[in-house]
Amino acid sequence: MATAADTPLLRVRDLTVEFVGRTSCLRAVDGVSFEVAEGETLAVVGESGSGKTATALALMRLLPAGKAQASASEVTFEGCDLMRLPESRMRELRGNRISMIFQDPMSAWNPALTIGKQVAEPIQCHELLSWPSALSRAEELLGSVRIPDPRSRSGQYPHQFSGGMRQRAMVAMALACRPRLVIADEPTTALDVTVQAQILNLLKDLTRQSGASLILVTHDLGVVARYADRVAIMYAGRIVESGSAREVYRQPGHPYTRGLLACVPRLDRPATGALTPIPGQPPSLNRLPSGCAFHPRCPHAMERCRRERPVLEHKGGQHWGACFVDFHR
Amino acid sequence: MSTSTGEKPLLRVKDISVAFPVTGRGIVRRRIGSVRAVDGVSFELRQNETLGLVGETGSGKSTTALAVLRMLDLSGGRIEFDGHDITRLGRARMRRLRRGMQMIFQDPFASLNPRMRIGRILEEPLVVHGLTGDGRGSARRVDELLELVGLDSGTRDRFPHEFSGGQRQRISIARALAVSPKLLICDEPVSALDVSIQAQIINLLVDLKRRTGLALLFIAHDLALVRHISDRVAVMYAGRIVELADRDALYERPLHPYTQALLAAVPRPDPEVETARGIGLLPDEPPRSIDPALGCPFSLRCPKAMDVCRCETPPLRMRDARAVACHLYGPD
Ligand SMILES: Nc1ncnc2c1ncn2[C@@H]1O[C@H](COP(=O)(O)OP(=O)(O)OP(=O)(O)O)[C@@H](O)[C@H]1O
Ligand SMILES: Nc1ncnc2c1ncn2[C@@H]1O[C@H](COP(=O)(O)OP(=O)(O)OP(=O)(O)O)[C@@H](O)[C@H]1O
Ligand SMILES: [Mg+2]
Ligand SMILES: [Mg+2]
Repeated sequence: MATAADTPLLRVRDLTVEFVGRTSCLRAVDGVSFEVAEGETLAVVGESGSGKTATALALMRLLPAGKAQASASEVTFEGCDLMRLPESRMRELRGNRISMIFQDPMSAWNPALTIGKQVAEPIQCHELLSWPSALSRAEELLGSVRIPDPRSRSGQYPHQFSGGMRQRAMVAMALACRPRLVIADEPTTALDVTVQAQILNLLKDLTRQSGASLILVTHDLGVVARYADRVAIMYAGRIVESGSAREVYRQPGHPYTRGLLACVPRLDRPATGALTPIPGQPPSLNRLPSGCAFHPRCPHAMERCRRERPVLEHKGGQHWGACFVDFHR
Repeated sequence: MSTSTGEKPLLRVKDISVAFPVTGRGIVRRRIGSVRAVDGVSFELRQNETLGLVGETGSGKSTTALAVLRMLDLSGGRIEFDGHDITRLGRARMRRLRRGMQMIFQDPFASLNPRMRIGRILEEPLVVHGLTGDGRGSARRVDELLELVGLDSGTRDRFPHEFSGGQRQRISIARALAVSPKLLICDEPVSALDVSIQAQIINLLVDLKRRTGLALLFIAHDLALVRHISDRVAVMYAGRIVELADRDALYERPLHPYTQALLAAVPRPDPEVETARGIGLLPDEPPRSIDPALGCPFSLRCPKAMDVCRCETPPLRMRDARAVACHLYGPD
């Protein structure tokens, strides 16, 4: 899935994440491969439970220890193999070269510390600044994400911020050390559309200014269309289609992608009669269908789809798909 | 006010307000004031009609719904349902009338008793309202309800945890419909569900409305979904309705600057449309005060605010068969 001739910032090959319970073992991510180029925004889309967060946490090496196992034939970031890096080196990268913005802006904050201190901490730690200079840099950053009156606001606690302000401060913290890669896991799901647009525009502007890459996990197809250069669609732990946003929206190849684009009502089209749902239910990981995991819901399923699992194949341009049915029918 | 014509409305909500106490942060939670979560809201809803209710978080949508169901006390205003003034109805009489209005909630996980089989869950409202008749009657009704929401009758002996989110929402809908209500209030009924499942539930609601003449009050954040399902749409901001109009009028020609900003902020699922489209971002959310300042509550963020907006609250005024509360639009 090469995006450019030069080496990508991040290259992931065959990433697998398993959650091990006492009696069971769930494969939440099953051989996922993708690349992120310098300065690129890759959106990751898929239904609940398809493995988006597990993928993100595996890259950050933040999966719950003892409960989850990640393996990959390659996870190369800036030439380092993240899977084999000692934890001490990984800690230097986290919040510094790679940072993450979480879905729930409240639970990611420590309620007992002021916002300013929490934003300043990674700065002091990674940039080796004195505490007072780190604090004043934090105030500057809060100003740059347009928190009004950042000096006094930085002395406030998370509960004194609105949801939108908390998430804006989270953007400030994630970008504090000028990371090369930001992973944002549904950063605006809990917020109003007007606030969502503010936060995502901010995130996009700031990453563009610093040339950082962005992995944006979302379930909102509008957000993908507005902010992503490329998109990867996940279903049941695998990437079933990827390509430039234009390719995928203009000519969705995988029946699941087509289903997703067809089932949402849209403001840019006249209101229609009935919606076209994708039939059936998303599969549960401990009872995955044989062959292609989507086949029970697929209108084009053939005998082969029940037996064999399609792998991601190049379909021209930047477009890749995992489907036996003629992709560009 | 009303933008509906003819036919007597099923639900008439007139100038209702709901206030919540605000307590201090100390050990003794002293009451230090109150917040008007809903402030003078009026609308009407007819049979076989869907009114969409949108607006930012905390604007009072859920509170309005709970007030209509009389699950919250009003601090002012009047509610008529099915020809009865229910504003001050006692518990017992209200319980009887509540049969006519049912609600489904956002979270299909929390709203079903995990220890009850589906059959019991669906029978319970029949029992509560004394509609069981003989035992066989209620069994038949349960089958009917399951079929109505597209579940097979074998599911009656299973427990909620054995179902997916979408199926659980179908069960909640079946339970709400058990007593044949005239009004169904849906508060974010699909926002906890995957998009691939949302369409199934929305189609189900549309179909039920067509078949039974149900009136729907449909609360959601998803503006495209609200456009799809609604006949009319009300937009709330800070406890008030700021605009109310027929669906197409509202979406094609929004008048209130907040409605305009809201619609502009929704990203369209088409990269080409999105690269071509600029959106005017609203400024940051203003600090919230306990007593809403005089003037239009949106004036702090409004790109078109004038001097008058900061000192005078605009009333909801009729304009071309629609209603808008904004100083940009004077009386007709
Ligand atoms: N700590 C855990 N222990 C066991 N299983 C887990 C754990 N965390 C996630 N899973 C399972 O792994 C699968 C993938 O979960 P993941 O959180 O990556 O999904 P997701 O795509 O991020 O979904 P959502 O859109 O709901 O956030 C799910 O089936 C989930 O139940
Ligand atoms: N039980 C309560 N006690 C005190 N304040 C409350 C209570 N319920 C709601 N509020 C406040 O009333 C206002 C309106 O809340 P409401 O839940 O009706 O908003 P909403 O429009 O439904 O928001 P959302 O879109 O987030 O569901 C908010 O400021 C909220 O904090
Ligand atoms: Mg997730
Ligand atoms: Mg609500």
